Amino acid sequence: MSDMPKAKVQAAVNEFRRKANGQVVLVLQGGGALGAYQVGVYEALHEAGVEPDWIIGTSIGAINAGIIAGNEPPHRLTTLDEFWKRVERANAWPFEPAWTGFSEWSEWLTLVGGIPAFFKPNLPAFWGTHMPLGEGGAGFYSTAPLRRLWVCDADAPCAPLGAASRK
Amino acid sequence: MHLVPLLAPRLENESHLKDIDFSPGAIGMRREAGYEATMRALERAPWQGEFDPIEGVILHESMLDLAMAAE
Repeated sequence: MSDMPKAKVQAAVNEFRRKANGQVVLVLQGGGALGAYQVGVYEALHEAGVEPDWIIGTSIGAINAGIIAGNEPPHRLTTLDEFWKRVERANAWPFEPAWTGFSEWSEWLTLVGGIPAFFKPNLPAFWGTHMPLGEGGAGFYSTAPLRRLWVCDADAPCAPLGAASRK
Repeated sequence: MHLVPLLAPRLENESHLKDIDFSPGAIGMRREAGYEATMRALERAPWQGEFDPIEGVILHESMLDLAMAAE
């Protein structure tokens, strides 16, 4: 934060919280990979010393929201970093060709194979709509790999990835 | 209620596959854009000032973010 003093932003937000009985609410929408934008949004708020009172999210927004809400403020950004590092798909080639079509190669790989830490194709669903898969299993992709980001055992509540990796 | 929409921008060369573009480059650019837009919003602090108490929702759109937004 170069030209904006943190204290000034914090004072403005605190005044809003006090005077207007206000709350800071972060509402994050869906959109898959576009959710990286939300990491930047949170990063700026965090740097300015503004932690949201409420976080609401859909789809990737819910995942980011879960990571933020599930970790103490000092660990939120590092845990978001860790998650986004895991879902990154490095380009299939060591260079990035400029012409269109070829540059979409890694997106096509994602369509076919999913993202290992995030989602994978649910093959039975591709057989057609007549397959009796039930509500939970009818999606073309499954987010079951996301469960590995959480560590659960019988004696303790589930811990999100940041907390787990610090144990 | 003050509403400050922050909109992810269109990137150069993006396509209908943009929501599954998990390349480090695209993730980095989107994150940077979110950071910059939020910093601009915090600097503007548009919730400060005098507002009609009758007004239920006050929308603080940034023309710059709107112009750059992805579809």
